[in-house]
Amino acid sequence: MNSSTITRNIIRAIGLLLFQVLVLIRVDLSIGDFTYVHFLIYPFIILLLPVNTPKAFVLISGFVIGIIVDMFYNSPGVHTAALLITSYVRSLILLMLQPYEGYTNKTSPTLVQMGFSWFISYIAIMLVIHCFAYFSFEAFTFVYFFKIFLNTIFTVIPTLILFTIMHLVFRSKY
Amino acid sequence: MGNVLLLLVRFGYHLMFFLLEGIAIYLIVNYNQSQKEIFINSTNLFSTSLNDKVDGMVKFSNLQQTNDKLQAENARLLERFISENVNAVDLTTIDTLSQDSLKYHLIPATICNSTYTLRNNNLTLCQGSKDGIEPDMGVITDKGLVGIVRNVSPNFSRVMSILHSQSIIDCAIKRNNAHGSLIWDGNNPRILNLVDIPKHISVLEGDTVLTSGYSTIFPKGLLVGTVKSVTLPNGSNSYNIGVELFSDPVTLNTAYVIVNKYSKEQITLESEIINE
Repeated sequence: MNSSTITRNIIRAIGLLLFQVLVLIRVDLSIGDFTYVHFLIYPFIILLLPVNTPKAFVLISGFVIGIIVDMFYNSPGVHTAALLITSYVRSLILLMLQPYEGYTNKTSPTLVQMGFSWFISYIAIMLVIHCFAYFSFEAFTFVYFFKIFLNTIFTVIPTLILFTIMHLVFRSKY
Repeated sequence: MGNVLLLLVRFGYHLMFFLLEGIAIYLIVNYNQSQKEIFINSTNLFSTSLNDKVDGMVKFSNLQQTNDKLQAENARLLERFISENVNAVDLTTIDTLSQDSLKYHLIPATICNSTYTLRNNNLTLCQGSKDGIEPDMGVITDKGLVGIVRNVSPNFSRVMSILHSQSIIDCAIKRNNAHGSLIWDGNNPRILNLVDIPKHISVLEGDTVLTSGYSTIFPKGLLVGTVKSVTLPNGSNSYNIGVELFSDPVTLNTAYVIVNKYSKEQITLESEIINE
């Protein structure tokens, strides 16, 4: 992990956080009664950290990012709890999706390094986990399981498309 | 100490996750109104369901006590009813607050043993002279007669059932107050026979049969049963009436023993005249 990787990650973190809490928070995608579409783009800060980042650091950064997002969303703890779960299972999912030759020291889970299909499956799995956790914590009960399920589905798809486009535009290698 | 450190090194990551997640959930529950309400409601649900289970267990273990208490309460209500029935003419003399003014007193009892298939049936009560039961007291349930106490030991008493060849109880038809004797012919334990009602009195099916109160054993006006069949045997001067009992003598388990406070007085007075 060289200084360029760290800088890029910090810049990405700041950029995505600002985009989330200043722009996406104002985007209203509800069509009549259909209020299930949201954009949750901040988890990608955690998802795109280099593979050999210390696990404890991933957890702590997840906690801090979650707190910041919660400050703007006025929902103390909800985003934090969901992002912590995402950070926690990240290492497990990375291990599951490990390529045949393994990860190198410099590997970042990005589109450029890992290829399109790997990248899409990785962020899709992580996003589903994150959104499901987030909407579960938001409802705080599984009584409305169908609503949680709809929210998850209709948040994952547009977020995935949006981020993939952004990622293709910036073409970040790390 | 070393082991604890080793544990921390090994599971520190997981512990850290659970710690941070705990903080996040604490924040959710404390600073979000809807989540807070859901949390409180759910914990309440959990605790109340647990409480309910414990309550059920406690209630079950107290069931015998509760039963006894209810039976005693029933006895008190029934004895007031019976006494008011007897003194219906001058209700004002009854001081309903004091038990002493009531003519009849009821002792709750449990039936330990009973037969109903023989020709002469008897019952055993789990209460005896210690509880104030004496021979020649009547035994009833809330809606019917059971029998008459014959023998008493300190803890048990033997009751001659109304399903006994020697049991003869004075009864009356409620509608016209015609008196007769209730006996059992030994066939059906749910149907008894009311005899000695002369044939000029009209008796209809469905008439209610009550105790007449002509003896010192049973007070006046206790429910017995309804008239089921009325037959007039050839050459006889009185009806043979089948009476269906309100209470099923086959399925009894609790009963009340009637104590008539003035029975001795009445019996002495009556025997004096016979002895003349």
